This record gives sequence, C-alpha cells and structure tokens, in this order.
Amino acid sequence: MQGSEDLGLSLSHAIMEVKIESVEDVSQALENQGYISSTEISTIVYLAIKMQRPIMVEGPAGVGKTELAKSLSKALKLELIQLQCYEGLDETKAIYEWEYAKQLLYTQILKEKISEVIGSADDLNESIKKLVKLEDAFFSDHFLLPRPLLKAIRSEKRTVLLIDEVDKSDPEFEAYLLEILSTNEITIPELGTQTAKSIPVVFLTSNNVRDLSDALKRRCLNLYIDFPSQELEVKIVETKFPQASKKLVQRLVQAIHEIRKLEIKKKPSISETLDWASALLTLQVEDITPDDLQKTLGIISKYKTDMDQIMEAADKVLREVS
Amino acid sequence: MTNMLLQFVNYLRYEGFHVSTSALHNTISSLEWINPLKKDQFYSALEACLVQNIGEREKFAKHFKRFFEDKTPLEFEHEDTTFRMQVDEFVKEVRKEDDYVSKVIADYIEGDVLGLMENVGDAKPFRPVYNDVASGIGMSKEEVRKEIIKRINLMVDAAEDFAAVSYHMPREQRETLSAFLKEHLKEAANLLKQDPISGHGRRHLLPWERQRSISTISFDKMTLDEHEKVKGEVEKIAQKLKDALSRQKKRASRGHIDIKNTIRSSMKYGGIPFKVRMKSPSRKKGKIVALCDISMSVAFAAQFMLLLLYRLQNRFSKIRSFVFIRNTFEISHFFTKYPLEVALQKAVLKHNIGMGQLTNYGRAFKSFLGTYPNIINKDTTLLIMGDGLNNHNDAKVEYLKEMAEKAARTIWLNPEEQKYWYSPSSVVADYEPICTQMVECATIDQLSDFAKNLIL
Repeated sequence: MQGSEDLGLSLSHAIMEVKIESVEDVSQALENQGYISSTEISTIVYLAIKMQRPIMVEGPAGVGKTELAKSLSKALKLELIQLQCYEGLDETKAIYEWEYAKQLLYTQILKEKISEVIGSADDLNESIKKLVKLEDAFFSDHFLLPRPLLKAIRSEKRTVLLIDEVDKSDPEFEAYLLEILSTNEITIPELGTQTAKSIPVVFLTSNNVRDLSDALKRRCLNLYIDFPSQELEVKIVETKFPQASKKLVQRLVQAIHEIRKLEIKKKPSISETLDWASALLTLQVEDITPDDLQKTLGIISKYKTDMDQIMEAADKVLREVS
Repeated sequence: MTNMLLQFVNYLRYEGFHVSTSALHNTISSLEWINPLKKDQFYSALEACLVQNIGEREKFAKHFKRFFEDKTPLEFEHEDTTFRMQVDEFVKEVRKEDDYVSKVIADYIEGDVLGLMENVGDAKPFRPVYNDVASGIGMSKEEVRKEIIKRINLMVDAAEDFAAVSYHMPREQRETLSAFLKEHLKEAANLLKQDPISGHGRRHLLPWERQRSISTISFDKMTLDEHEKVKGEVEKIAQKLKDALSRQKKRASRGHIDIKNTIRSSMKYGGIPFKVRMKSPSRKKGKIVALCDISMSVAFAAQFMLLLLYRLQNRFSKIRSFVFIRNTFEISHFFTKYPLEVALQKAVLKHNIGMGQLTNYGRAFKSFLGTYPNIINKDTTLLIMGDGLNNHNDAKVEYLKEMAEKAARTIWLNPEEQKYWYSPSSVVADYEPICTQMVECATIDQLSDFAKNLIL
C-alpha cells in the first residue's frame, strides 16, 4: 500500500477509531449518520482519508457540503474543528494569536522582580543575556492562543478540519493554507515550525464566490456536489423522514426537480427539500395541491420573484408529478 | 495501468486540459486505494485528481467515455495467456502490412490509442499531413480516416477467419477471441466516424487564428470562441477588482493607532495599554452612475461593459446602471434580481428603450435628466459608454453639460478606435470637451485598465 511505511500515516490510522477499508465502508459510515452519499462522494472521501489529501468540495448552496464534513467526523468519531471563512479573515483568527494582555500582565509582575533577575550579573552583557532569556519565555506556548488551524495540527488525535466557504476569504489567506495543506506544518516565527502530530482529514468548501488559486486546488482532491438525482433525493428524504408515505416523498421530490428546471434566482437545494418535507408532514399533507404549495412556498424559495414564478408554473409543477 | 493513465493524461493534454505532474502522481496513487474495475470509483478518482475547474467536468466526462468506454483496454478483460498470445499473433499479422494505417490499428488493439485519436473527428489544431498510405504522408486527414475505416471493415472478416483457425484453443475461447477482435475493430471504426462538433451562430476559430490574443482583439472582430473567453475574462476583472478593493480596505484598517483612545482606555489599567484602540478606516463615498448605449453599433462592447457592471453591481451597492438607445432606463434593480441575460430582456421588454432604432444621444440624456434628476451628485462618477454616432440627430450638448457639472467626473468609454471618432455622424467632438476623460475601450486590456483606474 502506498505510503504505508510513512510514520504519519500509520500513526493517524492507528488513532482513527472507526476502521475504513473500502469505499463501501465510507458510504455505510455516512449513511449511519443520516448522510446518503453517491459513489463519487464516498470514493473521494475514502481517497482523502487514505491519501491524506484535503478535499475541495464545491457546488451550489445547500447540497450538503458542510454536512458531509460534519457527518464524517461523527461517523469516524473524530473531533470536528471548524473554521468559518469571511472577508478579512487573517492569521490571528485562523492560525494563532499571542495573548497580548497576558503578556502585559506578566511584564508588570516581572518589573517588580527585575532587580532580582539581573542583580547577580557582573556586567551589562550578562544582564542583557538574562533579560533575553526572559523575553523567550514571553513567546512560548504559555502565551499562545491557538486558533482552528493550529488546533487541528497540534491535536494528538486525528481530527476533521472543516475550512468552510474558503472562497469568501481574501486571496492572501490562501497563502497560509498552502503551507498547511501541502506539508501539514505551520511556521510560527517565534517558535519555529509546528508539524502535525496527526494529519487531519481536511475539507474545504466553496460556493465559487471567487476563483480559488490553482496552487490551492492542485493540493486538493476536487469534489463537486451537484443537486442529487431524483432517486438519491428520494432516498435522502426517506432516510430523514421514515414516517412519510412513499407517495408523498415521490411527489415532493418530483415537484422540487420540476422547480429546479425553472429559470429562478435560487434553486431549492436538499436542505429546502428536507424543510419542505418536514413542513408538509407537520401540516399532515398527503397529496400536494397548489394550495399546499402556496402555503409552504416560503420554505422552498427565499425570493419574491422566484415565488411568483413557481406559482405561475404551479400547475405544470404539480401536473407533472400526478 | 500506469501506462494507460499516462496515455490518458497525454490525451487530455492534447485536448487542452492542463494536467500537472503532481495531478498525475495523485491519480496514480489514488488507484492503489480503489478498485479500478468498478467504473464509478475509477471515474470519481480520476475526476477528483485531474479536473480542477468545475467548467471542465463535462468535457472530462466526454473524453473519459471516449478513451475508456469506446475502447475497452485489453488488460482489463482477458488475462489468459493463450488468449493474449493469440491477440498478439493477430496484431503481428496486421503489422505485416507495414504501413501507417495498419500500425494505427495494431496499436489500438494493443491499447495505444493516441495514433487513432489523432484521426478522430474533432477539429484539431496543427494536425500533421501525411504523404501516402505507407507512411501516411501526403494524404489529408479525411483520407487517412476513410482508409482506416475501409481497412477495419476488411479486418473484421479477417479476424473472424483468424479466430476460427486457432485450433489449439477450445471452441468457446475461439468464439470469445473472434468477438473480442471484432468488437475492438468496430469500436475503432465507430470512433473515427464521429463527426466534428458543429457550431451555431458566429463562426468557430480557424486553426491559424489560434495564436491571436483575445486581450488585444477589438470586441466587434471576435469569433464565437473568443467571445466566450472574453466573458470569462470580464468575470476575472470583476473578481480582481473586488480582491484589490478588499486588500485596500484591509490595509487601510491596519496601522492606524488611535493614541488618544488607547491612552484613555489604559487609565483603568493604571496606564498600561492592555487594549490598543485602532482608528476605523475612512470610507470612500464615491458612487458610480453608468449609462450604456445598447444599440447595434456597440452591441459587442456593450455586452462586456454590462457584464462588468453586473458583476460589480452585485458586490457594490453604489453602482447604478442605465441603458439607452433613444430613451434611458435604469436596470440596476433587474441586475439585483435576475441573471444578466434575463435582466436585459426584462429591461428591454418593460421599457420603451427604442430597440432596433438608431441611437439619439441628445434625447437619451434629456430623458435621463427628466426621469432621474437627482441621481448625480458631487460624489458621483458618471460613466457613459457609447460610440458617439448620433445619426445626425441634435447632440443637445447642454444636457450632458448639466450632468457633467453635477458629477465629480465624467468618463466616456468609446468602443470605436480613436481614428474613427470624428466622423460626420459622430458627436464625439461636441461631447469630448465636456467630459473629464474620453477613453478608447475596444479591447479587454483597455477595459481592464479602465476598470482599475476607475475603482482603485
């Protein structure tokens, strides 16, 4: 097996509590957490675990990109460390920060002890050397505030690291990620290079707000999650709502697929399908009528113009399914 | 398997995919973990490692099918030694012909598809031309293709005869061999029969035009392919502008320590500055009002300009976009609700812009001031895009003057080359002195430079 001699790999495999030995194991593990995955998703997740490569998950909003990472962490019983990206995110929020206030507090304490420290020094040189030693103490683990990326790298146990909506971060933030993703190391100038104790399973999600750099993409396995096929979506709804009748699930999923064919601003995603199913069950709907659609439209669509379009096409949407 | 992957990657590169060595390395590594005989897993692994841009997924699927499904690799199916020896024997017989066509077919049966791919239907740039059947030189690609198909048809019968007399094999195996060879030969013929993809609308790029750089070609002289590429470039410009703005904002928010506030807040800590206070960055108040001529004479340039505005519109709230031919109407609210094409359609249908009519700048400016009198103020950058061809209508300079006086600056983007600006039907000469700047914007480079200067 490739890289099995590699210490990091054997270590991280040993640490992982749930054994994953095939693509089917991944599908099963995810299904146990209520995440129904396609073969493509399971294959790439399996490869990511075995090859220790990050996964770049792209696709429309609401298709289960973030949920995939969360479900995997539950399935593998690994801690999930999440970093939500946004414009202006920098290393102090993503990697580490020095605890400035704590350092100042210690400086105050030191001020009173300074004469004791340098009291025994014979000359200025020796005094400086003693002070420099103290300065090193200020830039030690004691004053370091680890943020998600450093936490994941330093964790003794393997973790699932979710870097969510990476496309919303600034392009320069990608530079920090490159080092972490390719070498599993983080360099802190004052402390040196921190190497991963156990290599995390990394998920990066993107909604394509901006193009990510080729350098970042090259380091990842690329997974595109599109809206699911009708059969898969039926299976997803059935898994989440076992109490729903087969007929209702079929009609609901078909209607959603018809709505997705419309030229609307925001197509309903899986999460909207599930919300809609939940709403229809709460209202004890057995057979979706235009009236039911009208009442629950706010769950499927978030824009007034989209709602108008859906209602205009309601007959078609519901006729198609009957 | 590694050889086959190498061939596939070479084939992808030949088809224009950018596949790095590290991606190839990943692909080879990935196959050690999955079962390559399971098509879904095999496909997913290759796609995950080799496709970096979502836009290339469809193309990848097509090439994958062509490479792995239209041609089933030999080693996937039959591992039996006797069977393999008989296939080798058949290939040897084919090679005895010792010409280019036979070589391509023999290579194909053995699993090397590149020779055959050279002759598959898609329009390929710079294909070599061969002369005769023996060396393949001097014949056109079409002739080589026909010759291979003809030869394959003859070989299908020969393959059946060959299998039938392979007496040292059991009958069942002979039948399998015959079916295997015939199937492969037919697959090869089917591949060659695929027609080149036909295009619609504007013409496709001709091979000798491939060296043209889209960054310098005038918008109205572009081919269909270039047109699509430029759309992508405009998206990138909008993205770069957004990135640059975000960097600028970030820089502005750093390094401005608010001494007064820091000292004040340190009082409760006995003068120790536990909390450093920063000055909030001053925000630029500028806004953009863009007027875009959408008549036929500037249709191509207008598309890109509108696309740029559309992308920026969704990122900055202070851009208001208007279109005109004879009358001016705002389309900003359509931009926020619909995709670009739908937004334009709605705007044109809803308002009497004057589609199909000749541009009248004077009237358009008058209608703008009449409908939106208070939209321009001292913080506004007024942006006008048009070629200035007023079709001998009255220029009504006073209206543009009034608009320019209200605005902080007025920039006119002209998609015409500068040497054509001062034709008799053009009002550029009248409007130019009123504008702060009149710039030529006929290529993607010029559009990009302008956008940078405008926003940054």
